[in-house]
Amino acid sequence: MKRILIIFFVCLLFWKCDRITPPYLENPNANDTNKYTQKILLEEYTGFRCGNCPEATEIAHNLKERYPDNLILLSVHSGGYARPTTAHPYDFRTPIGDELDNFFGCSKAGNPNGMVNRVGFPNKTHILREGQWESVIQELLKRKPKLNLKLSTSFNPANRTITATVEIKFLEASLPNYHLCLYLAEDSVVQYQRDDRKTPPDIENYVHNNVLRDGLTPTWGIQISDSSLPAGTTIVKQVNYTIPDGKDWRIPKLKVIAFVHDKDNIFEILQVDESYISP
Amino acid sequence: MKHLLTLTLIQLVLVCSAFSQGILDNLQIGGNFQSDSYYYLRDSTIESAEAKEKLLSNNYLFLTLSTNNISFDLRFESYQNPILGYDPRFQGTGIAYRSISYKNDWLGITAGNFYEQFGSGMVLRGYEERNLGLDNSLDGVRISVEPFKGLNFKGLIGKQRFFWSQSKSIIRGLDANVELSSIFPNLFNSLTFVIGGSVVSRYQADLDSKYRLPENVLAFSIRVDISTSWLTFSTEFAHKYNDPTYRNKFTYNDGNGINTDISIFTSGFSLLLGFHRYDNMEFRTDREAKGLELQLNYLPSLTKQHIYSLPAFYAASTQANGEIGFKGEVNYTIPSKTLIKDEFETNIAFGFSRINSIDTQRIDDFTYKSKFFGIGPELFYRDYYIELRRKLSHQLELKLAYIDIIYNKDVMENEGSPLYGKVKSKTLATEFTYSFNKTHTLRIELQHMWSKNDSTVASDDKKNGNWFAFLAEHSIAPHWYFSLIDQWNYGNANKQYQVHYLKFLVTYIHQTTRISLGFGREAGGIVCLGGVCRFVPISYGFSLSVTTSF
Repeated sequence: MKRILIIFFVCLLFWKCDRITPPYLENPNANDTNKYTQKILLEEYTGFRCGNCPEATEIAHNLKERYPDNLILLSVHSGGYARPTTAHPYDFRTPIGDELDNFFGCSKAGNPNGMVNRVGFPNKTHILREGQWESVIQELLKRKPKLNLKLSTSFNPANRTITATVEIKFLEASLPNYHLCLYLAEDSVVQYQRDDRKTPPDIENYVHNNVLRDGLTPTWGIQISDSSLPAGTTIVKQVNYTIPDGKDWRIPKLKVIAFVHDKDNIFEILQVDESYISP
Repeated sequence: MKHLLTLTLIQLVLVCSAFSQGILDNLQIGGNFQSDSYYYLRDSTIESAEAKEKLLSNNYLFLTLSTNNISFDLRFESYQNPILGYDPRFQGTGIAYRSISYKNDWLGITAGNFYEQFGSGMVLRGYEERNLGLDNSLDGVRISVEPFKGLNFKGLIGKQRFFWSQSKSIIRGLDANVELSSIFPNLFNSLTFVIGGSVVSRYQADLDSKYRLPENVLAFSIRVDISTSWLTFSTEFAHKYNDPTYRNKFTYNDGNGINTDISIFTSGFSLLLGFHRYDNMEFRTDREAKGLELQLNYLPSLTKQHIYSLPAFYAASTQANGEIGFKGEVNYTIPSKTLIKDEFETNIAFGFSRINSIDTQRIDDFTYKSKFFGIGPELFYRDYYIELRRKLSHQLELKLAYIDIIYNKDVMENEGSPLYGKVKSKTLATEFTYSFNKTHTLRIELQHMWSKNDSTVASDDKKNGNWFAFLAEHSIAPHWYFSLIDQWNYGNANKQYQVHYLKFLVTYIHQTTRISLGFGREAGGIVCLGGVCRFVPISYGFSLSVTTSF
C-alpha cells in the first residue's frame, strides 16, 4: 500500500505544468502590430424607389457610428426598386451589383436587407433584415481575424488611374480559394429617393452614401495564391483601374473597398478595409 | 527429420485448436444498432430548415466480442448526411471507435478508444451522448490497477476524437479512488466513505503568434463521497492552471470549481441540496475549440431537467466560464387515508434553483479578480416548481405541476450579447393517465405557458410569448404507442409565427427492437442534457428511428 502511494506521488512530481507570467504577449512592445482588428462589411441592398430603405440606411449609419473602427458600409442598388423611371432616369445599377444580387438573391427577398460579411451563405440565413445586423456584427467581433488587410490607394489625375495596393497578412493558414475583391464606391451622391416615412414621400435631394460604382477586380475577385500559405505569410497585391470615360463620379468622394472572401466555399468575407483614393 | 517436423506441426495445430476451442467456447457477441432518419419537407409558414439531400440519416452499430479476459469493441458510424442540428463535419462513414481490452482481478488494460470519467468529471470525462451529437472518446492506452479491494488507480494517455480525426493535443491523466470504508471496515461500520483525486494534463504546442501560451496545462481535483442509510454527501473541488483559450477570451487566470450535493431521505421524505461554483473551468483539448467541440471535462449541472416540453424550451446550460448557484428540492409522500379517505398516496415535490454570474473585477486585459463566494449581478437562471402526483382510482393517475422560470436567453444562447433578453415563463401542466385495462392506456397532457421576453434589441426570435401544448398518447401493451403532440405558440409577438407545431408519432416495440415513425413539425430550439446543450432547427417532415440490441 505504502509503496503504491509513493509511486503515485512520484508520478505526480513528473507531471508537467507551465505557468506563464507577464508579459502575456509574444511581442508586447511591437507598436500594436500584433493586435489586428476584425473589420466587417455590411452590404446593404437598396433602391431609390424603395420607400422603406432610408430607414434601414439610417440604421446602417448608426451602426457605423457605434462600431467606427470595425464596420465598413457598401450600398448595392439593384433589383426592381433600382430600375430607373421616366421621372427619375438616374441609374445607380452596376453589372457587378446585379451579379451579386442575382447570386445572393437579396432584392428578391424584398428590399431593404443586407449581408454582414455574407455570413449564413449557403445556409440561406445570409439575407438579414436591418434589425438583425447588429447581433451578427457582435457575433463576428468576438472572432479572431484569420488575416489582416492593409489597403493603400493613389490616384493619377493625368490618366485617371487608381492604384490600389493591398498587403495581406495571414494570421492562420490560408486556403487556395481565398480571393481578393476590390470595389469602388462613392459618397454623397445627391439624387432622388423615396422615403415612406415622409409626406409626400419624394425626396429629390437625398444624399446617397457608399454607392457601389464598379469593381477594380471582377465580381468574385482574384485568387491570392493557388496553394495554401502558412500562418505568418504576407502577400502584396497591386491592382490598377482606369476610370471609364463619361462617368460623373467625383474623385474626392471615391473610395476603394478591399476584402478577402472564401470563394466557392461559403463565400464568407474574412477581412475588409477601405481607403479614399485621394488624400 | 521430416517426420519430426510433421509431428511438431501436428502438435502445434492441436495446441492451437485446443486453445482456440477454449476461446471460442467462451466467445460472446453482443451489440446494438440505432438508425435515425429524417425526410425534410418545405414549410414556409414556420420557415423550416431544408436539406438539399431531402433525406438525412445518422446510423450507429456497436459490436462487442468478449472471451475469457479479452474483449474487442467496435462502433461503425455512418452519417449520410448528418441530420440537421448535428455538426455537418460528422459527414462520412467509418469505424469511429475500436478497442481491445484485457481485464483480470486486479489489472485492466485498454488499447484503442475508450470512455473515462474521473470523479464527477470536473477534470476529465470522455463520453458519448448521441442526442447531443457529442462523442468525446479518447484514443490511446488506459491502465487500471486494483491492488486490493477498495483501492483503485487509473492512468491514461490519448488524443480526443474530433469528428473523423483527432485533437491536436495529448491528454495524460491519473486517478486514485480510495474506499476507506472497505479498507477499514471496522472503523466505518455501515458508513461508506470514499476519497479520490485526479490529475490531468494537456499538451498542445504554442503556435500562436500573438500570445505566449502554456503548452502543458494541468488540472487536478479532490473529492469525498459519504453515504449512509439516510444521507449522501458528495463534494469535489477542481483547480486548473492558466489555460488561455478562445472561449475564455485568452484570460490567464487559473480556473477552479466546486460542486457539492447533499441528500437526506427517510421513508416518504427526501431533501436534496446542491451548490456549485465554476470559474474559468472550461477544459477542452484545443484552445480554439468552441460549441460542443473537444470538451475534456464535464461540469455537473445544478438545475432540474423539466420533463414537460414547454418549460424544457428554457433549460439552463452550464456556463463553465463562470457561474454560481444553489438548489433545493423536497419530496414528500402523504400517506394514504390522510387527505382523502382512500387507499392512494400523494407525492408532492417542491424545488427551486438560482444561478448567477460570479463576482469578478478586471485587473488588466489578461487577468481578473474573483471573490470565491461573491455572487455576480447578472441572473442566469432561476426556477421554482411544485409537482403533485396522485392516483384518483385504480385506473386514473393525475399529475399537476407549476413551473416558474427566469431564463437569461442572451447568456444561454447568444454568448451574453444583448439580443433576446431574459425570458420569464410560468407553466401550468397537468397529466392524466387512464388504464382501460391491462393493455390499453391513454395519457393526456395539457400545458400552458405564459412567457415574456424583456429584450430591448429588435430580434427575429421565432419562439416567444405564450404557448399551449397538448399531448395524447394511446398505448396498446406491449407493442404499440400512438401519440399526437401539438405545441401552439399563439402568443408570438410576430403574427407570422403564431403557429401550431403538430406532430404524429407511431412506435412499435418488439422485444429489444423499437421502431418509431413520426410526421409533422418540430418546434426546434435548444436540447440540453445535463447542462450541455445543442441547437435543433425548426423542421417539418417525416422521421424514422430504429433501435435494437442483441
